[in-house]
Amino acid sequence: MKGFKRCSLALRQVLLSSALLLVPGVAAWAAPAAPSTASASIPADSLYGLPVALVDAQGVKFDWREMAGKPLLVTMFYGDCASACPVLIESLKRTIAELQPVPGSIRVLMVSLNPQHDTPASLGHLLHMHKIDGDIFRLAVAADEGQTRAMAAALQIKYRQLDNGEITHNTRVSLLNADGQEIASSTLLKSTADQALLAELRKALQ
Amino acid sequence: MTWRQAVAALCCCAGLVGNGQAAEYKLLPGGEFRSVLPADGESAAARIRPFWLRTQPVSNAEYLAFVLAQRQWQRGGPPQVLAGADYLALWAGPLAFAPLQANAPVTQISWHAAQAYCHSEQARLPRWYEWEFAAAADEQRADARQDPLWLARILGWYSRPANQPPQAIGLEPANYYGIQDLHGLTWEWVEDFNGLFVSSDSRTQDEQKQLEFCGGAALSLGDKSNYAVLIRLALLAAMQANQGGNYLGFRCVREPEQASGATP
Repeated sequence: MKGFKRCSLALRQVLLSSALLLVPGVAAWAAPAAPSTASASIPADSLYGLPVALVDAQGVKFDWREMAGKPLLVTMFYGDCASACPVLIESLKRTIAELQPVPGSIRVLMVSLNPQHDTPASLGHLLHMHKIDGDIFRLAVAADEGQTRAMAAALQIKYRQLDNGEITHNTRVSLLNADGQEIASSTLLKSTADQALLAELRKALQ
Repeated sequence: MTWRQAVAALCCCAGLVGNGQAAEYKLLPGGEFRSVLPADGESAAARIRPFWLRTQPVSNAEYLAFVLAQRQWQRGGPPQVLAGADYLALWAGPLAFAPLQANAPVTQISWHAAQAYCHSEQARLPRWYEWEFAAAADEQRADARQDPLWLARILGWYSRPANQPPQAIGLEPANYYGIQDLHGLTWEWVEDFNGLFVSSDSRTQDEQKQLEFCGGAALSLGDKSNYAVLIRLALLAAMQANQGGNYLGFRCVREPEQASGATP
C-alpha cells in the first residue's frame, strides 16, 4: 500500500512536470509562442519548437508537440468551406486508405483556420459528416487567432478572412518525421490519393 | 562592474518594474477604410475597429529590456522555427545592441519574436488594415493618399540606399494621429503578414500555383497609385515567420479592452 502511494505520488510529479514542460504556464492558451525547455531535446529545425495549444473533437486539450514520436501528416483547413476542404479531406482519406498503415504508426492532424467559429462539437460533426476515421485523423482547433496564425506560419499556410466571414487560403500538407522535421509537403488539390505524398509516406514508415 | 553591466542591471530592474518608461499608445478611430487589399477580395472597403497604436516602433533599448526579462528570447535562445540565424545578428552580443543605437528601431526580429514582445506589453502586432489606416495620414490629414506630392515624399525613402542601419526613432514629426515613423525609417511586421495575397478560391489550381510560386505576389489590389504601401505589402507577403530583416522592425497594437493602462 505504502509502495503504491509513493508510486502514485511519483507518477503525479511526472505528470505535473511534463504538463509544465508542454504547457509553459497558464499563459500558453493566450500567449504567443514561447520557446520552452521542452525544445532542448528536439532538433534545431523541428517545427515542434513552436508550442500550439489545441482542443480536439473529443474536447481533449493537448499541445500539438504531443504528436511527436511518430510521423505526422499535418495541415490546416476551414470547416465551413464547401469547396477546397472536402477535396482536401477526401484526398487525405484516400491517401491513407492506399497506404494501409499499421494501426498507430501514423496520425493525421487537421487544425481549423477558424478559431472564432470551430468547437469540439463542430469538429465532431465534420468527422461524422465526412466519415473520417478518428483513430488516424485528429481534428483540432487552437484557442485564438494568434496561435492559429503562428501555426499557419510554421506550416507555410497563408489565409485571410474576407469580410463575409469566408476564409481564403492555400492548401499545404506537411509530413513531419517523429522529431517534427518537415520531410515532405504537398500542395496538390485533387480528390484522389496524392501519389507523391504516398511515396514519401511509405519511405517515412519503412 | 563595467558600465555595460551597470546599464544591463539597470535595464533589468526597469524591466522587472514594468519596462521603466511605459510605451505610449494612442487611440485611433478606425472605421470604413479603402485599403489596397479589398475586404471582399474585389472592391469592398475594410471596416476597422478602434485600436490603440504604439506611437513609436520598438527600440533596441526596449528590446534589450525585454530579453533581459525573458531570457528565452535572447539571441541563440529560440528554436529555428521561431527565429532563424539572422535574429538580432547585428547586435555585438545577446545582451549588447552596440554598434546599433539605443533609440534606433530594433530590427532583425522574427514575427514570433515581435508577437512575444508585444504580448509583454499586453498587446499584439497590428493587422495590415490597422497599419495601413494609420499610415494613410500625413501631419495634417487623416487620409493624405490623394496627394501626389505626399505619395512621392514617402516613396522617396525606398530610393535611398540601404547601407546603414536605421537611424533614431522620433526625428520626424508625428502624423495626424500622433504616430511617428510609419514611413521613412523601417519596414514593420503585421500580425496577418501571411494573409496578404490575392483572394482566390483555393480550388483554382492556377491561382494556387501562383500563390505557391511567389508567396502572394499576385495581389488583387484596389488602389495601385500608392507604390510605397504596395512595396510593403509585397515584402511582407514574401516573408517567413522566423525571418527578420535589417530594416524590418515592428510596433504593437492594443485592443480597446486591453488598453486600460494606456495614455490617451
